[in-house]
Amino acid sequence: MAGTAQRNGSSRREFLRAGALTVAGAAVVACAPAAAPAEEATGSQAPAVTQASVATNDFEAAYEEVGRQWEGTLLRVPVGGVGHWAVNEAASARFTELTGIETEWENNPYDQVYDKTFLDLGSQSGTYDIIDLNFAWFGQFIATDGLMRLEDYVDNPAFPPIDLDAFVPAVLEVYGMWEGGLYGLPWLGDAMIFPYNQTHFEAAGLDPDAPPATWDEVHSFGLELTQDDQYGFALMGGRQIQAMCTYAAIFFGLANKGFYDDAGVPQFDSDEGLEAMEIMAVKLPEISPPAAISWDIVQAAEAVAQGTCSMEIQWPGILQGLIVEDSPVYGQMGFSAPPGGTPLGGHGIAVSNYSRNKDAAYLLCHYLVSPEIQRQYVSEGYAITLTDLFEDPEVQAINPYLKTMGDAMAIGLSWPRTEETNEVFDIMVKHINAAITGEEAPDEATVLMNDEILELRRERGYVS
Amino acid sequence: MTSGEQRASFEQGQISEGMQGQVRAAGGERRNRLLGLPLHFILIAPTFLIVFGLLVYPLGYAIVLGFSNKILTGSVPFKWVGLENYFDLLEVDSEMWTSVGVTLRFALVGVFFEFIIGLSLALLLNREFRGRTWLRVGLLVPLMVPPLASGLIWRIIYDDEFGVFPHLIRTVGANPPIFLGDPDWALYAVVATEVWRSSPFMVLVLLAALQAQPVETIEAAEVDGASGWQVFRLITLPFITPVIIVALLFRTVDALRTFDLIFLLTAGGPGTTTEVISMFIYRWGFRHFKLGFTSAASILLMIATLIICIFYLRMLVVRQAEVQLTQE
Repeated sequence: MAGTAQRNGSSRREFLRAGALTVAGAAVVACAPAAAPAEEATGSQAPAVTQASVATNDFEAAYEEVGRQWEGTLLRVPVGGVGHWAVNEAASARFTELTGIETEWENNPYDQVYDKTFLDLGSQSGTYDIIDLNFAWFGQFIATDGLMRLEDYVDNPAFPPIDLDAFVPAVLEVYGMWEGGLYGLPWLGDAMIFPYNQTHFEAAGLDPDAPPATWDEVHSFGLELTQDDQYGFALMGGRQIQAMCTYAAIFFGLANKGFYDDAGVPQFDSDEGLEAMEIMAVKLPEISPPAAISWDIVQAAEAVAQGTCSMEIQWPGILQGLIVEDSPVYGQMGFSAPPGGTPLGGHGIAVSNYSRNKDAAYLLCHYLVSPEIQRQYVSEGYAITLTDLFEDPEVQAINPYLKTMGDAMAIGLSWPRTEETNEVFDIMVKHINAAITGEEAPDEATVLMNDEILELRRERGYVS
Repeated sequence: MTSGEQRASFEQGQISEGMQGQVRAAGGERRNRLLGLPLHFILIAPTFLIVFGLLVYPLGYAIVLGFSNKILTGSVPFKWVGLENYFDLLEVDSEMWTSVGVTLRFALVGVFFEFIIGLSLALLLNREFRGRTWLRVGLLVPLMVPPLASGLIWRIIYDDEFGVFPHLIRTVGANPPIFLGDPDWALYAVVATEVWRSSPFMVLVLLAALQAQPVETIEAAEVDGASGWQVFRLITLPFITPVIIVALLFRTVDALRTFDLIFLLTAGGPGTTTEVISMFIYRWGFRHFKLGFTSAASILLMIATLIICIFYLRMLVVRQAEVQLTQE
């Protein structure tokens, strides 16, 4: 055998040695420290601006002056891709011109934004610099220690000033604060509202200034409005997160209480929970197009924007198609709060604790939530978060649903923010969609949903 | 040359051709070493690293995780749970069984139709006719379309408002189903897309087998008066059976782990009617982040796939043994 080894120029020992070296190399690479957290807020000194200024006013000059020191930096932002996010992507182009800080907006289907962000923060890879912080995800992101505290930046005179009191207080609390600490800036103000087509109402003999005040009225009005190829309602009934949002809106409207009681037990098997499921699974499909049982947010919003459906419950961030001049329903729409109550949605914008470009990332967050940017882009669909803008007649004239949305945000009920919330949503989506498509009876779906959520919360220690 | 003569010639400074070869080999060996290791080990190291990093290590890690309660959130402390995940998955009322049922229906119906369509088209393309080359090229199109694109295209094709299928059904006066939203239709709509996407693979493989068949045997059978059906059943089919088995093996394994198409078309809905096992694993892994549980489910899927592979490979071995017996 020795001869064989000589012939081949190798031996088992050498093979093992090579293998061990390779594995050791791999281990060294694998065990290399993850992205080192960037240094703390630096209290940046006034940088030397070496090239001609492109700023056209003091607002822009402030960002240009601070941002030029990070010229060439690339910031990655994972987002949902449509509506408000697309507007922010457009707004960031000017930020890049001013500061030289590049941005890369990674557009994903909305459901995947959470998956990707959570995995990034959980693995501490630092792939993303800026975090799109749906407040329902807050608990999980905090559990990864992936969100950076922002107080040092807010107080840092090297950055342009920011007035936290200018934001809608409830929104700042829910979108940005966790146990007294500031982790996010209010970015995407959201509460579901109820757009309805006043022209369709009039044609059907309904009062265009009297939107439905109860979900029973939504159903009865919907029956009046449904004829031929036109339908009363646009249901987001597919197996996706908006089915849960619609159910929650109905549940909040009927019950005026949150998901859990004081002991943390889910309340979906209550009378209101069951009624909400029956509305979702029986009444709304009756007045929606047959295909709506597989629709997501874009299809439902488009159906109303095209005039195919007369009513919907919807997030304002995607309603731009109703108010642009070339819309088939331009001038026809009325907006009201959903019957009984509404869920508060919305997102903060935060900086990843594992980003290598924290300072530049904070500057972009700051820029995107500034009053100037919110005002400038409100006509294109920016979902504003500043109190003054909601009350500004000019802004209200641009965007007819803002007043309704502001009112809804002030009274909306919020989702739970505990770390298992996204899992609760997944369970709800599964059973709500099963009820809508007839795979489960509404009462069966309600009980199964409630039991699964209860079991999950017991497992996580939220219910004893 | 005796050993004494060899020693004498060595002492005189002369060496034999064989010895010269050995010396050259030793020099070559020195040249072919890097960092004290044979060069060929160095050269295969990147491949070894990739296989280890992307296959061996993740597999080993998944096996280990399957015995834990690992959840990617902060509140649940890590602990080893032995076979608990496996027991949970294999419980009679486990959700996994629903997914297993969906997966089997998806794979069996899909692979059956892929085979029938693939064999029919391969037999057709094995004949001479005008436009055969164009038809062959055309058949490759579904294979060339990226899965993501084909999923999105078919989603539009099935769309109740804008889709081609519902439109065609309406033009003949019928009421189309909601292909991707109706629990009775959704799975078969997805299967039809998979058949469209994968039948060309079957065609290519079976066509290659048909073209390898010796023409003489068919001609001899025809001279002996065999009908077309008899030629196919008694000569062609036995000849291509090993290839059929391999093609079915590939397609079945592929169908069992299908994910992309279902994720794009239905996301497992309506309800759970299209939630194949890969979607089930994805949902628990990337919605609930229960990595221990999903690792155990992945290992079960791997074992089930291996069993099916062994079944097909045994069929192949048996078939080859039969052929050998016939030849003897």
